Amino acid sequence: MVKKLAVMIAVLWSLVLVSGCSAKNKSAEGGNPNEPFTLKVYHNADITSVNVFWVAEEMGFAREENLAFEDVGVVPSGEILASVVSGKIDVGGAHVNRTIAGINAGAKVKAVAAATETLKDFPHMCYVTVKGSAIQSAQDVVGKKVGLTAYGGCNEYTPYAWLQKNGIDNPKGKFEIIILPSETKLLQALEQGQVDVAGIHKDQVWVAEQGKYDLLFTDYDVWETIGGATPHYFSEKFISEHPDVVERYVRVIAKTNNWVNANREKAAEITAKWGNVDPIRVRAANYAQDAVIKPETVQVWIELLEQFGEIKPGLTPDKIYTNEFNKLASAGT
Amino acid sequence: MPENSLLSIDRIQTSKKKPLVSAFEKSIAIIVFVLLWEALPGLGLVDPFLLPPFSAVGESLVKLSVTGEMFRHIGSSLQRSGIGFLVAVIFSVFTGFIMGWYKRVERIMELVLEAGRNTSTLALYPVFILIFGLGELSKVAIIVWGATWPTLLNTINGVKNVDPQLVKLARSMGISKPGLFFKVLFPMALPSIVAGLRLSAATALLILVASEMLGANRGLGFMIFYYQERYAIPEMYGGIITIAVIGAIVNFLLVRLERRVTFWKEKPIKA
Repeated sequence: MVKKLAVMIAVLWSLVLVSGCSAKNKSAEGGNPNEPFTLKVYHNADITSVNVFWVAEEMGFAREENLAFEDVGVVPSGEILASVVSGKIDVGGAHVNRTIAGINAGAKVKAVAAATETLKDFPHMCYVTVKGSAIQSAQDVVGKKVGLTAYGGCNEYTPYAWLQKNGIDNPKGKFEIIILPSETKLLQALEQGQVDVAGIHKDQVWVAEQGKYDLLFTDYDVWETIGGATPHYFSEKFISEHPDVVERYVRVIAKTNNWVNANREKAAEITAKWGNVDPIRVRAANYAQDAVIKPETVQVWIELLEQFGEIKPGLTPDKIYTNEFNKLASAGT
Repeated sequence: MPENSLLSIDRIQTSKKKPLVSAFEKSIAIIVFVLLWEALPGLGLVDPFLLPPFSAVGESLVKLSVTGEMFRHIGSSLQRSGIGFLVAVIFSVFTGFIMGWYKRVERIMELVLEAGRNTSTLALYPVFILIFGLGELSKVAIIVWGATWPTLLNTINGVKNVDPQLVKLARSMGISKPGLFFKVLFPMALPSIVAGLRLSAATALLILVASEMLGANRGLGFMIFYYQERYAIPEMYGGIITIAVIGAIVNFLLVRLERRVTFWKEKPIKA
């Protein structure tokens, strides 16, 4: 009786495993070529910036390339890379310094399409204090509490680079970092005096509109246009198995980037509608023209992370990104 | 005689093997687990970025110990959880005895007790931060909150389950109130209280890790979170293993304490 039960369980378990392994992708690969290839994507918990996947779906750009985006839900920024590596999502895209750190740590991913790009009026990050704060310069930040949503990445290293640029040597450890899970909580903590400076992904217009914060600096003040890249990446496994899908995806992103730049308000409205939030909360950043990844946007972060010992020396931009799937890119990238 | 002698030798040999067999049985599961952990990423069955080999994790543990960083984090975590656990135990035992002994007090407090007990502790952490701020106080306070319930409930049950015959007997012998407490109630409730302590200790460690992921810059929970953010995955696993080991040690010490204070209890017959 026990033996029969064991055999039954083994057979059932095998069936479960086989069916699980074969249900990897809802796409029509090897099936109906008219069905779109579905890519698993994610969104941020804080819906305050444009979501290119929602815009691409709404405007039909994804459909034009026979692609569809399946939103799996919120993925915290610290888990995006691991989710791509494990196949839980197909596309990742946080700041390029996270991609660099992940590849340095052994993650087999590669960036293929540029996303945001800093402009003076559209910085990647702003660092703010309460209105009328005595903190006005880099020296004033020394010994203070800086609130961030995560360690590493643009959050932590932008202030280090700013301090260095303004004459503060060895900036690591010169201020205390307080981590809070969202920018909303960061700003609450700022207003309650629990932190002295808060690093947020907003622009100076938004800061001025709130009326209660002073802008201390942005990433544009540190690197001008090259510090705010957030390219999209796939796992190397996905790229090798579906190069045509990657190429189609890059075309979708290029089209979406260009459209968002020309229709910022509309893009924010679409995002607010899909995310079920008040449109006034959503702001459109600036997106890289044609989704072309510029080497300097990667190199600047390789150098910074090497300098602070977060990555091993010797990593080169070609290990981080490629424009080979972007026919709009100029030769040599 | 010779038979008896042989039998005696057999018994001696069997009793010498038993500790070795016992030690092997206790460690075989861990050994297999570690071997699997080393083999799976090594054989490419699991991506080593997601699960580095055990040897890489061991190496990171050694590095963190040599630099002293590990001990700084352990010290901070033990301090927070120790203070929280102690405050929780003092409060729970005192309140538990009152609630267990005075039915009226229990009736008055019952609804509040059930509401507090059934509210997810970590869901309340934002409230604690609002009230106590981002510093040490909110972390210790949430640990106190979470660690209180197991010991409180076990103390109440321990007091309520004291054999009433013993109480009547003691009273019939003219025992004073303090005497009744120290010589009857407390010893009889102690096994239940100590069982509650073990649960509270485990809860304190669980909550500690989560509370250190917000607004902290030291501690094992912070360390796990910090290294995860930096994709220093071996170090992250090193922190997780350290917490597991500390939890096991704390549990071991409490089990020893439980055996010591309940030596008079009849042990169940083992197969």
